[in-house]
Amino acid sequence: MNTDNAKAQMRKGVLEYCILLILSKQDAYASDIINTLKESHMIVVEGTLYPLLTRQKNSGLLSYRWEESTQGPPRKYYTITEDGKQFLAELDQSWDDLILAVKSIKDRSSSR
Amino acid sequence: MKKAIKINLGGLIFHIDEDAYDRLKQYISALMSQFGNNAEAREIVSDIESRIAELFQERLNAGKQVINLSDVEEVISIMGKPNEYDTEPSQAEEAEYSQEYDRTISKRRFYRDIDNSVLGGVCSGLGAYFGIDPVIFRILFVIFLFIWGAALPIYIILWIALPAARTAAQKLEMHGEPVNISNIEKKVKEEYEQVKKNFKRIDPEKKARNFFESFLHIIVTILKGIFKIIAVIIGGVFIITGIVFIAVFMALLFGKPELSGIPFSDFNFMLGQFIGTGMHGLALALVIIMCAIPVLAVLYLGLKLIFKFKTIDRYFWISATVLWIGSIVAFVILTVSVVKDVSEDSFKTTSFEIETTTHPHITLIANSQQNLKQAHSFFSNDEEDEYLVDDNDNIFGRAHLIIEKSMDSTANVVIERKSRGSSYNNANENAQAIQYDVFQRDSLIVIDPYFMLKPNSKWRAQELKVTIYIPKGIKISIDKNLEDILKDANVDGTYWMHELPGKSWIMTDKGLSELK
Repeated sequence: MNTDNAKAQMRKGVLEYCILLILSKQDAYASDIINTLKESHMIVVEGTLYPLLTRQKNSGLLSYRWEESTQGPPRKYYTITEDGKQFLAELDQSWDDLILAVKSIKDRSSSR
Repeated sequence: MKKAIKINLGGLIFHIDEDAYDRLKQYISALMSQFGNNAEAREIVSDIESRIAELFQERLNAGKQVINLSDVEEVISIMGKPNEYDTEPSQAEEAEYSQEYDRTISKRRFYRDIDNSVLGGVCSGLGAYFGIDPVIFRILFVIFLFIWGAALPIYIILWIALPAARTAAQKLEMHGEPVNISNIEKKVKEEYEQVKKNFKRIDPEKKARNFFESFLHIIVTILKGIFKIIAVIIGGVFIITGIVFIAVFMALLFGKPELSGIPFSDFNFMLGQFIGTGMHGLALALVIIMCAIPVLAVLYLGLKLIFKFKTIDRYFWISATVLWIGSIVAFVILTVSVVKDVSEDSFKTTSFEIETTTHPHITLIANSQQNLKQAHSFFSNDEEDEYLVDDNDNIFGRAHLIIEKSMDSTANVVIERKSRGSSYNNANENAQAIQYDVFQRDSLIVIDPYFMLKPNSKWRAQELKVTIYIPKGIKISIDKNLEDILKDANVDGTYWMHELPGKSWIMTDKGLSELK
C-alpha cells in the first residue's frame, strides 16, 4: 500500500465535512472553497471538489444561486441549507468521536 | 505555424492549439466516462469545465492569446487525474490499481512517423516504438535489401498495414508518453476508440485499413501512375502535331513552298483564282478559322495533358466548336461555285506547216524571249506540271512538247489548248484565252516553253500540248533549253527524254534515229 493513496483516502472521507464547515461560516464560490482547502493543505487537486459539491447539492445539503460576474459567465454561489446544518452537526459529533477513538488506540499501542 | 481551434469552454471562448485541444478533449471525455451519463454527472463536468475556463483565463494575457499543450497539462495536474475524482469508496481499490497501472504501462502503439520519414516513415515508426534511433532500422533495411531482397515487400506491407501518426494523440502514443487515462484497462481502450473515431473522418487513409482494400489501393495508385505517364506521352505527341500543323499552315499562307510539302504552295493565290475579289478576304479568314481552331485545340490538349492546368470554361469549348462548324459551312457555301467552274473541259487546236524543203534539218529551240525570272510557282505536282505567276499576276503554265512521226510527207506543228470551265462554252473561251506561240525562222522552230493566260483570266487547270510531226527522212535537233518541256518522242529504241536534246536525229519508219 502506498502512503499517498492512504492519505488521499483519509482526506476524501473528511472532505465533505470540511466543505460543510466552510459554508457554515459564510456563503462562497467554488473557487473560494478550493482556496481555503488548499491553504489548509486539505486538497491538492481541485477536481475532487466538484463531484462532492454537486452531490451534496443534490442531496439537499447545499444550494446555490447564480451570481453575475464582470469577467465572464455567471458563477455558482454556494450556501448551506438547514438540512446541511443538521448534517454538519452530526458530522461534528462523529468527527469528535473518531478523534477520541483513534487517540485511544494510539495511547493503547504506545503504552505497550 | 500551428493550427488553432476555437472552443467554447464554460461559456467563454478560447483559442487553443490543436494538440492541446486533443489533450483537453481526451481529459474531458475521460471525466464523462468516469462520472457516467446522468444529469448529476453532466452538472459536475460542467462545473469542472467552468473551473478549467477560469484557470485558462489566468494564463492568457496580451502577449499570449492561445492556450497551448503545457497549459492544458498544467490545468489537468491542478484539477487532478480522473481516478482521483472518485469519492465512492467501492471504487477506491480500482483507483489505486489503475494508478499503479498508470505508472508502469506507457501506452505505446505502432505508428508510421511521417514527420520524420525518409520514405514512408516505417523505420521512423519502428524507432519511435522501440525507443531506438530510426537510423538503425534504416541501415538494417538496406542490409536486408541486399542480402535477402525480401526487405522491400516487407517494407511495403508495413507501409500499408501501419497507419501514420497524424493526430497529436497518435503521435504521443507512438513515442510512448503515458497517456493519462488511467482507469480500468477496458475503459481506457474504449476511450481511445472514441477519440480515434472522431479523427477517422478526417483521415482518409484510415478508410483503407482493411488489408485487402489497402492492397487494391496500391494497385490503383500504380495504375494511375502508368496512366499519367501515358497521358504525358500523348500530350507530347499532340503538342508536336499542333506545332507542325501551325508551321505548315504558316508556310502555306505566306508562300514558302519548300516548307510545306503540299502541292499548292501559294495558297492565297489559289484561293483568289476561284473566289471573286470581294469575297477573297472573307474566304481567307474562314479558312484560317477552319484550320486554326482544330490545331489550337490539339495543341491545348497536349499542353494540358503534360502540364495539367485548369480546364477552360466549358462554354468556351462549345462556342469554339460552333464557330468552327460555322466557318466550315460558310466556306463551303462560298466556294460552291468552285466546283461549277471546273466541271467541264474543252480544247482548241491550231496548227501550221513547217517548211522543210529548204530546211531538211530543223532545230527545235526554246523562245529565250520568254522571261520568267520574276515568277514564282504556285502549284506544282512535280517539275512537269508547274504553274507560275509573276509580279503582275500573270499566270503561266508549262507547255508539253511531243515529237511524232508524220503520217504524210509534211512536217506540222499542232498546238492543242485545253481548259476547264463552268460550261462547254465557258471552257472553250478559257481555252481560247491561252496565249502561246510557235514560229519558224529559217531552220529554227522557236517554241514558247510556257503558255500564258490572258491577263485577268483565272486559272482553270489549263494545259497546252504542242506536237511536232516529222515526216520520214527529215533531220531534227533539239536544243537543250527544251529539255524541261519535252514530254514524249517517237524514238527508235529506248531513251530517256532528257537524252534527246543536244543530239541530232532523223525520222525513220521506226521513229527517230540518232545521227552519228
